[in-house]
Amino acid sequence: MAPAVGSMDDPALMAAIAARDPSALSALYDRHGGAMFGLCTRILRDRSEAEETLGDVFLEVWNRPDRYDAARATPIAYLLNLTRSRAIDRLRAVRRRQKGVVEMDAPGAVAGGEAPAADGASPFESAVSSETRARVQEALDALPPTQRAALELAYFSGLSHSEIAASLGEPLGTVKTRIRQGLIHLRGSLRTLYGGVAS
Amino acid sequence: MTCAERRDDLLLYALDGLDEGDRREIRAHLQSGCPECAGALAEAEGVLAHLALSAAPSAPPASVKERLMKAVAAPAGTPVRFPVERTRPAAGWGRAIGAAGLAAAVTAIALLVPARRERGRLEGELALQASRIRELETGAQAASEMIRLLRSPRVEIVSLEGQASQPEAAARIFWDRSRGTWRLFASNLRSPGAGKTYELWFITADQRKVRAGTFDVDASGEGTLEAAVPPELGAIALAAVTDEPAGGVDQPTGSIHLLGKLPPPASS
Repeated sequence: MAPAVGSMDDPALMAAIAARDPSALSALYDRHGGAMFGLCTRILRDRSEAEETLGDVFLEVWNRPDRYDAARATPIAYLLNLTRSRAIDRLRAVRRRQKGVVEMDAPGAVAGGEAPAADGASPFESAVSSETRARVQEALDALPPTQRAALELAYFSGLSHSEIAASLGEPLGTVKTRIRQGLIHLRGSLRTLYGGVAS
Repeated sequence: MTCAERRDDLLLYALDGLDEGDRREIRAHLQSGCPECAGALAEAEGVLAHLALSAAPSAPPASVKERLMKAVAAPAGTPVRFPVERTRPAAGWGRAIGAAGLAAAVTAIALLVPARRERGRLEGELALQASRIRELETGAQAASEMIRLLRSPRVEIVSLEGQASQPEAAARIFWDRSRGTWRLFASNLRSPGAGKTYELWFITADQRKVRAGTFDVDASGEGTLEAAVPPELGAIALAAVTDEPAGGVDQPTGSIHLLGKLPPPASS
């Protein structure tokens, strides 16, 4: 008898999704939807847009399971990177609309954005160990503030490096160096966690 | 460019932060099937996935999952799309409303879009101010610590001089013997180069070299490091700074750029 999806690990869930098992998608959503939704709201700063993005990401996982390469990333690393990519795409689309190209059918074009909800502890949080989150926070806290600010803007804001330089009032070369050094620092600090996100 | 040099660029590639020319060059190299760079890209994507975890998790509303599961339950062959929530007026309303409604909508957009733009500008400003406050707080803490170091009779100052590779470089170590810490302030150091960092070493009287930590320098050539002095180390004779591969190494391999002699422990 096949194991219940609730007891499957992430790679097994991804395999079951590829085999068109909706209950595996449901289990994956329950396990990682919270981390992904938190990332969406942090990037988009708009709960409605974040909800649409989360739905789109899971549908992409369902429609294109062949895009996941188990040799390259753990499922959660794949899901988080896909979520960031889609959230940034949506954020840039929203910004383009705000610059005057208003698409009547696009969700969120005029909808009032809400601040991300300050949800309390959720069952989603347990999917990624608190120790892993603490390690990431420690690594970020150890960065020089200027590196951290530039890196967080590059990761969460969807701004180009030139736009980040303009918003920080710093030369472009300085901003690029800070982002690069910040990433190198993080790579060194998080070395022991590679491949182990939410293992 | 070697694959070792490309490893740092792959971090920016994964972040989508490279210029078009560099991005094209790396994409072509990856497509050539280089296993080392494929591994480095996987590593870079792992770093970015961890960065995502700094965003606080948040439970999405139940309606999102309901819509998702409804969409995937569509019969085979049906295009599966994430359905837009019906109660959200912004979604799909262009087709749903008549000409009169469209005119009203255009007016509403004219009124609301500037408001959203202003909100976006204010949010950006807020994020910037929060970042500056963090910087000021960190600066204030550093200044307070510096005053304590300068006042304390238990703190000794050790000067490190630039060596042949960088004679203009200099550093000072504030050695707090009571706390067993070194705080290094370096200046006029050049960037160590791509894929490299600076590493500080404790060198004991019997010539053992023990790593104290790594640091990088900013655009003005300044860098700092706080290191705990291992209590079992014994007498330290020298302090040295070398350039080493990013992340540091257990024994020095690079050139010495800064060197300083330490005073013997004060006799009690």
